[in-house]
Amino acid sequence: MSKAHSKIKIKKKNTLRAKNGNEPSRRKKKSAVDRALEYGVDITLLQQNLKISPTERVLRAQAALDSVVAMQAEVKTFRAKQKQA
Amino acid sequence: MSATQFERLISRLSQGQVEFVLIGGLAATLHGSAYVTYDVDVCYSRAPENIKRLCNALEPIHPYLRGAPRDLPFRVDPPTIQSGLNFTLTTDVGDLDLLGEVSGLGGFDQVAAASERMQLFGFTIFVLSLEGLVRAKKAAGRRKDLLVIPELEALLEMKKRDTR
Repeated sequence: MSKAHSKIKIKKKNTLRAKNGNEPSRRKKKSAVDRALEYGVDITLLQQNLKISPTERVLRAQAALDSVVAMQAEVKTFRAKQKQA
Repeated sequence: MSATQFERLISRLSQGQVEFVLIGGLAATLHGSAYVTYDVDVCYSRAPENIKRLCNALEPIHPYLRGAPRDLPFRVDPPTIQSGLNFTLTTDVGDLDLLGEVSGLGGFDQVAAASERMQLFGFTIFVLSLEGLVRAKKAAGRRKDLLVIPELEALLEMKKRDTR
């Protein structure tokens, strides 16, 4: 089969796939942001983070971690008290 | 349990002139990630002089193997670090992971080549780049590593868009 023939065959195949409701093989690749959104990533948090300096990002992360650890300690104390009661 | 104090750990290593690259969750935070990390991960140079500086810097904060029984004969000193490679430690100021190699990247020299300089707490430190983080996470292949890749790739794309 000549090159021209095989090209026509591929084109027909893609047209058929499009008619059948399947996406053609050369569809546009999704952006990383779109993929992240589909995955459930909160892009607004990333946008906020990109507006502040790296040091501020670490300070925020530190505050978040401090809160998480404090809450975990509180839950632990609460459970221990419940067990005693 | 108290929270890891990022500033104190980074300052200690920097003041001690330890050659290291910040990797892992805190590096991702510096690049804008919204995930909360519990520890500090660094890739350190295995040069004997650096190992000596690393041990000196950590000694005052009493590093110990995380999760190990307290009666183990373990000390963070040059012979111990030389004979091992990766250490998961707990210290007086929080958890610290020391890595001699990073999957997907290699040893300190390769990790340093894939890093960028950043200003943090008054020190200029090397931080693994977003591209490097993605490569390392993909190579590690653990579920917890793969989970953060979509976010890191989105950050990479957002930063590229901003610089255009």
